[in-house]
Amino acid sequence: MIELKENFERYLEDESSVKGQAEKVIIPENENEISEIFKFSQKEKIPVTISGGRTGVTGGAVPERGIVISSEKLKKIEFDEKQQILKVQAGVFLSEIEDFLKKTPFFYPPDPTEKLASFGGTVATDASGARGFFYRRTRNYIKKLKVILPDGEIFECKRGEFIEKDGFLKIMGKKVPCANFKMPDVKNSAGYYSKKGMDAVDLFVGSEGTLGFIFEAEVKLIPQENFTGILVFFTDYHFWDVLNFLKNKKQKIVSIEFFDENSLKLLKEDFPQIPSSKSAIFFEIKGEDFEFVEKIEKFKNIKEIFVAEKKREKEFVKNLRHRLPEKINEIVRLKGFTKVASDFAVKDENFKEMFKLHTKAKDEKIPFVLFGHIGESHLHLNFLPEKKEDFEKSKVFIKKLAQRIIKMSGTITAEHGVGRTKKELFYMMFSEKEIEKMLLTKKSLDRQMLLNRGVMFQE
Amino acid sequence: MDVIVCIKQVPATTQVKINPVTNTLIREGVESIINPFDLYAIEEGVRLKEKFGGKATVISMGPPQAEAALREAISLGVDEAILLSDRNFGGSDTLATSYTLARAIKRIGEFDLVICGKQAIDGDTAQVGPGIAEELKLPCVTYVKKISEVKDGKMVVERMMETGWQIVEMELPGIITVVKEINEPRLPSLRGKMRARKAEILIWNASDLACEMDRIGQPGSPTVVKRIFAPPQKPAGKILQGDIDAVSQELADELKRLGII
Repeated sequence: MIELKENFERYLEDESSVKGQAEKVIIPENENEISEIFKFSQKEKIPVTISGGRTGVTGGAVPERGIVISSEKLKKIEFDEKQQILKVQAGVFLSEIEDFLKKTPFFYPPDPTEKLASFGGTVATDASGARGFFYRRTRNYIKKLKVILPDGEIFECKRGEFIEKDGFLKIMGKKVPCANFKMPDVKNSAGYYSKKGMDAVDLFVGSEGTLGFIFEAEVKLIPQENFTGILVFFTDYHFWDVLNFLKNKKQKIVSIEFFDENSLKLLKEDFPQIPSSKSAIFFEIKGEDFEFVEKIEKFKNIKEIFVAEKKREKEFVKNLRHRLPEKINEIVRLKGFTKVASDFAVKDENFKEMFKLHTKAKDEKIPFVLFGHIGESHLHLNFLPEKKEDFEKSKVFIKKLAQRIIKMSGTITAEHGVGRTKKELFYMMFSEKEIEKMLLTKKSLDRQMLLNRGVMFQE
Repeated sequence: MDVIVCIKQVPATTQVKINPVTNTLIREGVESIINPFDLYAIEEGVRLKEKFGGKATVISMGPPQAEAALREAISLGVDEAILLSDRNFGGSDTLATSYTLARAIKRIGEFDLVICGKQAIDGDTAQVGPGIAEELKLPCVTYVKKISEVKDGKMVVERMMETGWQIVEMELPGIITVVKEINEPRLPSLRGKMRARKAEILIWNASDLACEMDRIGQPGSPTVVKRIFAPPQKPAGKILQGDIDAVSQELADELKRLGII
């Protein structure tokens, strides 16, 4: 176990540009050390913040004060080929899982863009990714968890072993209230998982580290698949026919993403090969199916279609897609502001309306880009303000937009999580009663609210 | 402007393994690709055609499966593709290859410019472009990073040097070999791919090209390969991770241990 008492600035921030404070950073090497730190924290009433890859965009890993506990030394990966199960510790990067699995005929489907995210962080936030349209989210692949609870107890839970009954889960002798409010029926990252008959695994996955330290998990693997990526560039904003066509081919389509004109202009700076166009859809299909792609050609307003089958072509498309969020974060950081972005999702039937509301951003006369996982009716509007006044204005716009999304029974965060930066919207989305219920869950495991203090809940 | 682009199909070398016993390349299961530098040659040829009109033709010498590389070139905008394939071409070194490609270029007849990639990533010789030029007695400029002007049967190009670049004016028809700085190869469009699927690939053999038989294949190849061997394997590097102070100390200790500092 390493303890840092100075020179640990990098542990005080993440990709959100939110900065925090801490007295020290501890880097444990096993579950018992974490357990000891937690026991000490409870006894001395010192807040503990869990730190993984610090690639989150909502400040979930940023400490308020107290101890930071980093997962960076928890690097074990074990592979059980017969069971098709991978056992991964919290500090392993997604890129390391990917590299590890290259030697096997399997892959791990959750694919958040940021490959330097720590595995533990992706479990704690129930990360999804572009292929979520078909492969869903991290929770769908978690078979077993080892969690260090805030009181220091080490809890191993296998899916199916701990099931909610009469509104409670029994966890290490504690009665944990759960399944006591209604989750929005959309792609959602806001609040605890809540469903009748739910599994304890699902309570911890996506709890943003507020209920325990995800030390290790066993994940389900899937036989390696070959994907073909298709980029469709449009002469205007009428991509809806193609979108509807794709959405009806659920068995074939793995991902559907959207880029607006501003996104494409930004990308063209680095990828001059892409045509000037008003909007674009990127989608992936399983396998190679040229006839299927040819069907797309008959739709109107298409300027150009690129098909990525070969390695070089796939690499190009991958770089193109990953470059956009990266570039946005760079611009935002350069201007010295925090990210002002939407991460909203609604039900499919409300998506057209949500899209229209997002495009109203242009009336604000502040630079912005709009893109997202439209297969799951999920959009990211990112403002790129250049002055303080515009930064404030864009925050107001996002807040107003959130109100409309909430009215449509959508979510204020579909994948980024609440963290520290979306608490205000989180408290708008859920009623006081619902928040109170989530707090009951939290307090049943962490009475003094010491773990990841300030994440999700306001003081 | 009529352009001829010469390309080669090569194994994707990042994946190539060498059989430690026989010292030969293990080609099974290794993906074949267009030599990466040739992609820039194709792109430049297609751009010239699009700008000035005319025709872009791609040629490649290789076994029948090299057809895939030619089809890919068509998907990238080339008009016509010719495969030079004959058992008698087998075992060609760069001299015999240059001769054979030159014969094909002669047979095509009318052209303003031949473009090659600067070198192939499997042999790394960079000899075939200049070899063709010698055979056809044409002016040749290697390592071209930019074509800045095409006018009145002449062309001005920028040639990449180690410490800067040369501006060269050359007569046309001529030959250039290009470096990757010259352009950004496009992605094939769906239409391009559809065209490539249906396109007919011409196949020319030694007699089509009226080759002198002692100048092609093994008989035409004076190069003698004395020995092929894999470079000795380097032990894996070590990545130090963690706190910067601890890591720095660890690095310093390691360097001391190795006697470097």
